[in-house]
Amino acid sequence: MNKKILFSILLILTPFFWWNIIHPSNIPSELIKLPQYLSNQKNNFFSEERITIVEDARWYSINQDIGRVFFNKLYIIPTELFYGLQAISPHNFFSSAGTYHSTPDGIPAIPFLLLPFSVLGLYQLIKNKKYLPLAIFVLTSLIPFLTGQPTLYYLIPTYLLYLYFSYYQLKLLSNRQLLNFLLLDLVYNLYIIGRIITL
Amino acid sequence: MKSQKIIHLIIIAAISFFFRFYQLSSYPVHLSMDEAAITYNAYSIATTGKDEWNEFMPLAFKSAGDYKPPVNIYLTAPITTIFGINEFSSRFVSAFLGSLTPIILYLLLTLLNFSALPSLLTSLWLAILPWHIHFSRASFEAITALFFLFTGLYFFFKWIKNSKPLNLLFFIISFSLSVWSYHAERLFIPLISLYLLIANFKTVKNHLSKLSLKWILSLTATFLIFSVPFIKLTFFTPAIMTRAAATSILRESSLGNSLHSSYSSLSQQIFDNNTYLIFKHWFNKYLSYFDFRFLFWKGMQFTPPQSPGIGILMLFDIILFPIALYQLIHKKNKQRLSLFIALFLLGPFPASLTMNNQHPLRALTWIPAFAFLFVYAFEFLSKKFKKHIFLPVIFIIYTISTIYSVNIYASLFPHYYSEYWQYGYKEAAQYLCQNKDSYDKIIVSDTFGSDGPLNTGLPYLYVLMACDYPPTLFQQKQQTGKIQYRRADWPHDQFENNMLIVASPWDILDDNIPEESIVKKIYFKNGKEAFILIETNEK
Repeated sequence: MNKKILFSILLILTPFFWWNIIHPSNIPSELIKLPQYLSNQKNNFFSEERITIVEDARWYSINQDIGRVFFNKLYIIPTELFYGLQAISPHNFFSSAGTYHSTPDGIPAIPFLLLPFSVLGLYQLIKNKKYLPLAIFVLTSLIPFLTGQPTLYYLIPTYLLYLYFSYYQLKLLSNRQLLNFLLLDLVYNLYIIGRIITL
Repeated sequence: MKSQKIIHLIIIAAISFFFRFYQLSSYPVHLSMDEAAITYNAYSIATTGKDEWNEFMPLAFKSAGDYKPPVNIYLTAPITTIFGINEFSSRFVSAFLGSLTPIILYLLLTLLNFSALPSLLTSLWLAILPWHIHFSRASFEAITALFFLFTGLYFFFKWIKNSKPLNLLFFIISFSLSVWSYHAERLFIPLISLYLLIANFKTVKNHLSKLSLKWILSLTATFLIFSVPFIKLTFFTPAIMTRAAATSILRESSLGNSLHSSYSSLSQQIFDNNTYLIFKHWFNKYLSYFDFRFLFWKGMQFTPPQSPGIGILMLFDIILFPIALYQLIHKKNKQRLSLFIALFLLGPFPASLTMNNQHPLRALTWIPAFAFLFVYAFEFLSKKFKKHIFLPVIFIIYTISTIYSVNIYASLFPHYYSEYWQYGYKEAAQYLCQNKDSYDKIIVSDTFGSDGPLNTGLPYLYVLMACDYPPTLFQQKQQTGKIQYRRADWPHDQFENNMLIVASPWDILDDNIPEESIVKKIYFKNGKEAFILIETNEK
């Protein structure tokens, strides 16, 4: 199967994609808030609330000097970076529902059926020493770090990379295996659509 | 083994023992209910051969609202006769087996043909891993189970290597003891055994065909000795099913509320059926264990959700992780790769089937996967860099990591969470044991904590321990003389004659207690009131 067609089919068969096609205003209306989010994150990065939490830890440390070394303003940076890493975890894409109506109620952005292929695709990429997609994937964690928004609207690059990982493995399947899988994926999507209509 | 390696291993063992035994009685800050239950039942077994419910040598101990696995209790029994019933005795078995686990890990890794230095460093990694240290320092059965899991893996691969049936016997015993030690292993061990069997099918078949009849009978008998009582407990008593039901994800309100007892329409039966809902809930939980923040930054629940904490792994491990993955993939050793995948995917599986999100205790079965992963990183680093550069860097990083972890564990953890370790019950129990003859009646509240009046404890366990209450007496009536356990009811209790009340602040929220009636106040480590000891006037 043509590579572009395969990737496009995978893209279409994700709830995040077709949900936002049906609701075309969702993504622009959220992305338009980017300057506001950036400014909020910048202004609140070292907010009093965050500093108080760190200072609390310093205050109750075993020794004030040790507390000062570990728990100071800088501690907020890795804390926020890990929120970013948390946002790009597979959990956020394959199992939990998107926030701000980015996916249908209770439905993950990418079908769980694609997760094993994503993992195997990642394996193939490392095996073939293709690190660029991996590097970009890790760098996408900076988006929630900079915007303070772990929503899928801002993690579209991560979402596309997860699809790319799946695609990288799926393209290795025979046409027959691929067709069977895509049929299964289609049935899953129809099931999800059925859920949305009936519930 | 060269003498230098033995010395290194002894140093790592010393580090492991130090982190698990230093101030063992003081950290965690208080005996939990489960620890108290294990200790008193162990003491009861050691002195009378019966548990607190007067049952002779039980295989599941009914206590603290649960059925406890027997291994830790039987191992603790002789310890209580040596050291008495106290924190040290309670925690000795876990601390001891937890200290030995890095040594077993070293033996396992060298058996799997990893070189000595990476194996030693992985052993050191486990010796200082806060995730393993914390649970080793309290009487957690999961640590015992993990020790036997590592031991079982060691003997299995030894058997695969040299086909000596004695190794197979030890493998069966170790894995069986692991299953008998903790709930998570009841699921993990059969699954990993199945993997080991499939992955080594040819060798296993070959080795088994060479066994003599004597060995076949001995091995079968050993297997049956452990498995038949377990099957009996599972299907003919509530011991195992009760625990499974009590911690099952089905009990979670977020799932339970969405499940249907009957379907109102065909479309609901198709599109909102319970199987789908349960699967979705479980999958969500399972994937939550692969969250980077939980793994490296904030997984140990030593501090409140927003406060600084530590992950189940150390922060430095985030660097080892990609290096190890790269090495594992490029080594082209399919057997090792498949072993890692099995351990990595199965590790959090038992925990994901239970209540509570990201449960580090139940996920301890994941440790072998990480140990097996990081040995690759250490192998790579030890080959890539010169020892005199690489070792000091590792030493400095681990020292900083350890100071950070110790600070959180010894200072912040007690401050924020002393009440979750039932802090205060011991002091209250000690007071009333010393003064019990001065009162006609004593009431101890089972309400505790600052969160609300609904948290309940089992204060009788602390009284049994503090008063060194003879098990023979308790076994008869499950009572502790004049000491009773219920919430204080000041409007009525105040008219009782010569009574001591150990009340939680929630019990006397709206009551005006005369200052002169308060004989003692006990505080949590964060300064909030834990218990108020009040005496009624003598009339």
